[in-house]
Amino acid sequence: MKKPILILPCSGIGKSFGSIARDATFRVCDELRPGKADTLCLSLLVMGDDEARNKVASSKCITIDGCPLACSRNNVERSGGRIAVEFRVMDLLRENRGLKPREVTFLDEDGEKLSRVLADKVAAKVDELMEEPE
Amino acid sequence: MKIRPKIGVVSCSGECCGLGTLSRVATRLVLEDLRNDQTVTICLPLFLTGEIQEHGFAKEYPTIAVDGCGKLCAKKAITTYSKEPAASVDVEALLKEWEVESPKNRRVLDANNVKTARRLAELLAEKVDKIQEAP
Amino acid sequence: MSEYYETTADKFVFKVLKTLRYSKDEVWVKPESNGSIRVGLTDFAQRRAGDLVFAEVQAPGTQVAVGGFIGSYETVKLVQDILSPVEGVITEINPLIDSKPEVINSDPYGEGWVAVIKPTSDLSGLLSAEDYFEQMKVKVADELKKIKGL
Repeated sequence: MKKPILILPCSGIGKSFGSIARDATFRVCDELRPGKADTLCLSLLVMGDDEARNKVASSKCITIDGCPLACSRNNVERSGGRIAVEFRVMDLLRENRGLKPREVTFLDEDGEKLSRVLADKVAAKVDELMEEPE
Repeated sequence: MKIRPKIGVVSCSGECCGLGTLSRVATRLVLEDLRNDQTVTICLPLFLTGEIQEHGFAKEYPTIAVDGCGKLCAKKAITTYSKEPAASVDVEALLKEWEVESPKNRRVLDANNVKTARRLAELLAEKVDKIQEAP
Repeated sequence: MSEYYETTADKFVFKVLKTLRYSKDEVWVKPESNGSIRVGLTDFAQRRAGDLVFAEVQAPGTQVAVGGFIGSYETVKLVQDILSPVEGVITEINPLIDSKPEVINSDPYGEGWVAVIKPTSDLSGLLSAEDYFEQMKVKVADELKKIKGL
C-alpha cells in the first residue's frame, strides 16, 4: 500500500488565502482522496517533532501557499521535506478573476468556490503522484 | 495615563484536527470583533520562517498563545523565538474542563462548535483585558 | 543611519525611502540621469492594498497629465488607479508587473518600479520624503483596520 501524499497548507491566519489553502487541504484529505492524501501540523514540523520530520522526509509533499511569502514551501524545505508540487492560491485567483474572497474566519462564497477549484487541482496531482514510483 | 499595550494573539496552525480550527476561529473572533483595537494576530507559519516584523512584535509586546492540543506548538514557538507568552490556552484541556465535545470535522465547524469558539474567544478577550490591566 | 524613515503601527512597519520624492497619490519619484523619472507605488500604498493579484500599466508612448491614469492594480479588496505625478510620456514599463505583480508588494521601492516617464512638467509639486512621511503617518493611523485585513 503506497504512502499517502502529504499536503501542507500555509494556514496563514491574516488573509483569506491562508484559510482557502487550509480548507482545500481538508477537502482533499477528508472528502476527495481519503486514505491517499494526508496532512500534518506545519508548526509541529518546524518545531522539530521527529515523527513529523520523518513523515515529510519519506513522503511526497504538496505545499499550498496562500501568498507569495510562501511560508509552507519555506518551512517544509527547511525541515527536510520532499516537495513534489507547489500550489499558490494567488495563481488560482489570477485564473479565476471574478472571484474576490475576502473573509478569513469563515470563508465567504467566493472563498468556498476557490477552495473547491483548488481542491480539485490538488486531488488531480495526488492521483498523478500516486501513479509514480515512490 | 496608563499605556495599555497591544496584545499579540497567536493561534497554532493545527492542521491535524478540529481543535486547531477551533483555536484559529476563536483567535480571529478576538481580533475582528471582541478586541479589535487591542489585539494583533501573529501568523505562526510566518513567524516560524523568521519574519522580522512578527518576531519584533512578539519580543516587544505581550502575547497569548492559543494551542489546540497539549503539544503546545504556538507556546513553544513564541517562547523559543521571542519570549514566553503572557498567557496560554490549551484548548483540548479546556474543552475537557468545560465538558464540551471537540469538533468532529476539521474543515467545517458546526453550530455547537461555533458556540464553543465564541466562548473561547470571550475567554481570550478576558485574558487580553487582564494583561492590559496588569501594573 | 537608515536609508528609510520608518513608522510602526501594531506589527507593521511602514517605510519611506529618503532619497525619493513623492506625490500625494502614493507614487514615488526617482529622477534618472537622462532627465526621465522612474515611478512606483509607496510602501504604504502596497500595504494598504494587500496582495496584488493584477497590475497593468499604459504602454510606452502614452502621454499622461499630472494626476492622469498610468495604470492600475487589483487585489481582492480593491481596484486602484496609479496616477501620474507629472505631465509627460511613458517611455518604459516594468516587464515584471504583468506576470509578477507581487513584486510591488515585496520590493515597492526597488524591483517593483512601475514605469519610466519623460516629464514635460517640472517636479516642484512633489513632496520631499520628510513631508510625505508626516502625511503618511496620519494616513497609517486612519487606515490601520484595512491594513489589518478587517
